[in-house]
Amino acid sequence: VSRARTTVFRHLPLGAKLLALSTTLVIVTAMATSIASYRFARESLLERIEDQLRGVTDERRRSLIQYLDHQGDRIRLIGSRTWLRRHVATLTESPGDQAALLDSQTILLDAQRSLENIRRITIIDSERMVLTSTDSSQLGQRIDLPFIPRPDASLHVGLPRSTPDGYRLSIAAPLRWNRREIGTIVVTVDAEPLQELVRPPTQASSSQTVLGFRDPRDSVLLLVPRRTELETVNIALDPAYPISRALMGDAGFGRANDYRGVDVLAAYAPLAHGWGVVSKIDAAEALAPIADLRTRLMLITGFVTLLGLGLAHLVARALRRPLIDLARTVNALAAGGLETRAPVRSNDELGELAKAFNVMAAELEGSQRTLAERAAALAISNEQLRHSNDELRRFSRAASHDLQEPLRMVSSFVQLLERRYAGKLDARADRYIHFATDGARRMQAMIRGLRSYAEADESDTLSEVVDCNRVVRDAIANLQLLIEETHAKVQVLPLPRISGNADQLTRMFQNLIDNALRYRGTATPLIEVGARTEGEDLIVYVRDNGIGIESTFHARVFEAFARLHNHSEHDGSGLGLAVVDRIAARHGGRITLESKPGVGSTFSLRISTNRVAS
Amino acid sequence: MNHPPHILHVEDNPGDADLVGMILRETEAHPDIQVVSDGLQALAYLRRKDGFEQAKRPDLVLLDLNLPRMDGRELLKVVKRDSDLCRIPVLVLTSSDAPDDVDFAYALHANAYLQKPETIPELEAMAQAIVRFWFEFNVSG
Repeated sequence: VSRARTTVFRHLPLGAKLLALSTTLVIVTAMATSIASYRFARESLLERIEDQLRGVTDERRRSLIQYLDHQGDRIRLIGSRTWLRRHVATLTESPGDQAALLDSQTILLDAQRSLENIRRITIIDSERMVLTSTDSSQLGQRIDLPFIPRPDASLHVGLPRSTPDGYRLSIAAPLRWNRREIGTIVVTVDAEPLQELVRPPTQASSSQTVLGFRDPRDSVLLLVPRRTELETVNIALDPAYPISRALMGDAGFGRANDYRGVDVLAAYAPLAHGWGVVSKIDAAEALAPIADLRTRLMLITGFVTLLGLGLAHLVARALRRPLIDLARTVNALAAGGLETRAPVRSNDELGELAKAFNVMAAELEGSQRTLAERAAALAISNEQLRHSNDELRRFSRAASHDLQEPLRMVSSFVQLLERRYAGKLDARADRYIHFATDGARRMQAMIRGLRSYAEADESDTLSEVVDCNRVVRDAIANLQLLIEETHAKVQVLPLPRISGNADQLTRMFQNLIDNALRYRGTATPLIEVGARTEGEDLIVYVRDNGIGIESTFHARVFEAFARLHNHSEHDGSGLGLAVVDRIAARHGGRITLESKPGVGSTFSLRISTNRVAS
Repeated sequence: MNHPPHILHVEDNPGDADLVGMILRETEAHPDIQVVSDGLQALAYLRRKDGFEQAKRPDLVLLDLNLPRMDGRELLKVVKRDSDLCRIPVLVLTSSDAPDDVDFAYALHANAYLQKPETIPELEAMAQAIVRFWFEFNVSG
């Protein structure tokens, strides 16, 4: 899968790659930053809330303990009155003692008057029978204890209870006389101060302090402050509730569902006398800044991502454009638009690349232009050469033809003169006529040579299959008269078939054999025509035993009209070997000469074995 | 053949005309040769017009190709398209051996194409051949 993904990534365009890369970087960075800052903010907020709630809890706890201690002090102050204790002791022994009852009632009423918020003071015996009370209606009755009496406790605190006149709280303390417990003082007080103690600092906030009391049936009575009063709520002693944990003796901080089922942050602590205190705030409210922060962070992350995308897109485009321009320029250049240049858009590496490329393109264009100029110059001189060649060929053809006509006249009439008037004039005239006929005859031979030299260059086909045996046979047939005259022996060894022009090759061999016959020595002329291969070359040679050629003249023999001999000695057009050279060149070959004066000459045609036909 | 054959030689070169005429006259047939130097004159002669009203109808025409005014090719064309004149044999006698000229002449129904020989013996041989072929063996209409 990862390989496939890599391949896909490789096939993406550069812009998309950059976009993907920078998007990933931006998103990861933005998300990581957001999450980290969110966590940090949340932690510190929670810490602050914990500190605050713990602080409130501690303060409330201290106030409540102080309040309860104060109540205990007040009860003990009442119980410390000697006469009261004496009257109560009397009443325990003789319940009907009116004097003791009245006196004790007087003392209690006095105490009630002197102390604030005390609604009723009652003293009961161990059987919960009322011994004396500020409320006469209670006398002689058995009352329910509003608290769980604990044997060793010096103070009992009951549960707050609602009355039409407001909340009441019963606090009790044992009453002793002569180291003996003679009864219990039960004081009913207004719970208004408690309300003050747990009153929320502001109404707007959901933060509040709740008091909890563990009742005898192990359920929890909650005292919840309302706007102007307190409200009691009963819930189970479930450790999921913070108040339950406080009532079980734990102090701490945590997040939980409160009695309303609302998610809250709460600090809890136990109080004395089975009380617990909880300071709490709705998590939704407490964490509102965090939720706000989260929303903002998400917005910022989104914005940063979009910004990153935009920037990446711009950067990608800035990178891609010069590259695309360059690629387009390269293509245009390759297609022949040598004047095309890459635009230089920046001073960075891409700009450097474009500049370097332009330098290269300029050099390419320059060298291409030089090349084109040279080629054009070459084409022009080629054309001039071809033109002058054509001109020369036309000239030689026209010259040979046009010269032939008057020469034929000269020759014919001189011949006529020779035939008709020989012996009829004087001897000197005969000699003159002879010189004239001879001159005319040689001139005719030269003109014939010139024509064949010109014709050797005509555009005859050079690709027919030519059997050299046959060509040489034809050449020999054309020279039959001269061969018979000179009693020459011509031996032809097996020759190959080559691709070329039969007429031209016939002329070539004819000229070579003619040359051998013409420049014969005193011995019987022996001429051999044969072939062999030398590496990549095919060699067809004509060897004679003639007079041979001095090596200093070897190069000159192939020139036109380059005669090495006096014309009276050896007759010829002066063009025979020039024609041979020309025909050899036309066949992509060349003619070489090996010769020794007095021994003989060998003329060899060297052509590529590629020309050998099967 | 009772009277000597009559040959019209169309040739602008007086030397050639002299030479060919002389060699032909020396043959056994001893032909009667009339020379004209261009195509227009030849045509006038053949049609007996413009000063040639007394001309004889030739038994043979020897025609050079390169002529002033009307050249041999043009004359050949006119003669061979003429329903009467086309019966007169026309031998092209010229110095050119260019294949184009040969093809052209035969395409215009020339009766033979001869190249002017370069030596007197050759010329004599040719003259003999012409005379023997056209005046001895050939049965004319």
